[in-house]
Amino acid sequence: MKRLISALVVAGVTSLAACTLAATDKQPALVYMVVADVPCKEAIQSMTQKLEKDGFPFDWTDRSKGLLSVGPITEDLKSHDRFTRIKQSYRLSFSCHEEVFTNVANQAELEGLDMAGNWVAIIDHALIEKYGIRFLDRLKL
Amino acid sequence: MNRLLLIALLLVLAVFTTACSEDKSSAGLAKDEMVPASAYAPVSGNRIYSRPDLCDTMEDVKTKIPYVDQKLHKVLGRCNSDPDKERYWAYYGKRQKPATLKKWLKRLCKKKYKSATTIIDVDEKQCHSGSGAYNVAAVGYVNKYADLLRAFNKSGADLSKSAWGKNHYCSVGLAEGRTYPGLSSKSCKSSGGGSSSGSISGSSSGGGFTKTDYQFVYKMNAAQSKLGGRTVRWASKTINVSGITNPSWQAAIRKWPVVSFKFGSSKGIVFAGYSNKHPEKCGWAQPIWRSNGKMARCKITLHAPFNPARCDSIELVLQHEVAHCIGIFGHTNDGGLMDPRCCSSKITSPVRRGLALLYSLPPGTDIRSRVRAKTGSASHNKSKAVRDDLFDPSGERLIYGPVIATQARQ
Repeated sequence: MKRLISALVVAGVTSLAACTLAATDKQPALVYMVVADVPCKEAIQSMTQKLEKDGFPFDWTDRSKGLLSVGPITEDLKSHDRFTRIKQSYRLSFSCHEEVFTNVANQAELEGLDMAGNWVAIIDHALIEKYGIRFLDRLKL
Repeated sequence: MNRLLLIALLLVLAVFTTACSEDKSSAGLAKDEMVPASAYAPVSGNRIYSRPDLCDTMEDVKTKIPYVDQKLHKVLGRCNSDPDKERYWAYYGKRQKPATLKKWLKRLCKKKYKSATTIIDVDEKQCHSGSGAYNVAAVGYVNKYADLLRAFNKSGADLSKSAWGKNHYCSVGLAEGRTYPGLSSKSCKSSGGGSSSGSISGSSSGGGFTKTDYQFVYKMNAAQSKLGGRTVRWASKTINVSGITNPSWQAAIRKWPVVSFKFGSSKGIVFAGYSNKHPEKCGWAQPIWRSNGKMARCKITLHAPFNPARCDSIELVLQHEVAHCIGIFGHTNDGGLMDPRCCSSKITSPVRRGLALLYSLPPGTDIRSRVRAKTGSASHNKSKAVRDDLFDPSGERLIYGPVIATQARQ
């Protein structure tokens, strides 16, 4: 009986650990922004215009819910020891409050082109967050 | 005759000595020494304990250096044999080094009461102490335990020693059996930096934090953070500002209490220049934060051409936008600076207190329980588990799942 319980515990712990690894293996990070003192509709319009101007491909996943997908945006990486190019995708979620406040949640996903020519999901949280912040920073009104 | 002369001389000397010692608080202090101020707890609005209003306004007439930048020192202590057990002695707002002030205080206790001295606190940051509420017992508690003192010093003093001490006592210390006179489980029932026992609620805005303060911070910050009722703020109370060199603009920004600003630094709050994209607006701000509740950067843009008839002054607009950058993600309706329409320069009490509360809490603090009576609802609690996933205390956990869809439904 004791062995059975031990085996169950070990199996449980193992599967939980595996589950965690799988989850963190490919999942993106989030960063947030508020645009204050500009009417929400204007702010969203300005941001999509900025995306157009910068030549970033985007698509309204669900306009009624304020969901916008941006990317992929591909850039060369000059000083990375593992990847030569980076592919960025962003999922933006807009919501309004008080008419002149626009909340933007940005979920970033990165892939890197390794030396063997394969696109590999990047799971370096700091790097994903850095790109997420940089992208929001570009959406200056 | 000689004897009479001698007696007369002695009398005169005695009179002089008495007068002299009265000047120096009956302590027989040396000429260069200053007399400390005495105080009792609780004292409201007393600069010895609380964040003085001067932090926001006073400038040295000669040097023009704001009070906050003068790096003034403070020492607070008690003479152990003082028959008045409630009395504290303090030097505050002094340019002398803390070691000198401590020496003076010890000498005073020795001469006045033939007593040893208990130094309760050295340099509790008067201008940067967040809530401004001062809890003598909580400070003494931190000083009593070497491991706590080490932990506090290591924390980077993001919170005042008073607030840190109280937080520690209530969350861990009490359960661990740590003690300090004046601290008990009752102390933990009050909110903010003060407590019901031995506390001085003397912030410039009037004391410990109330449910109304928490509701303000919830509405203006935590509810907009998208982090499940958790707060967003800069990690440090000293905030970098770049792109603003005009002294009158800097002075306007410096009027914000609780935090201080380091001009000329990179990152932080950035003045992004002018734009004519939104002609109805005077200026706008774009704060960005991470999933651990720490602000990453904030851009401020002013409308060009600037219209003084509609927007009053650039200083006022900048001051308003900086508030959005430091965590006020909403507008008030109380005739103050944070109203959506200009042109009051008044930082009203709810805003002042809200900021003090926001910066007395670590970034990413869940304040829902503090406001639940008013804002708690079935739908609020229903989505709690999902929204908790959005918060990442370490800033390192990767977040997964249908986050975007969840947020859109909120």
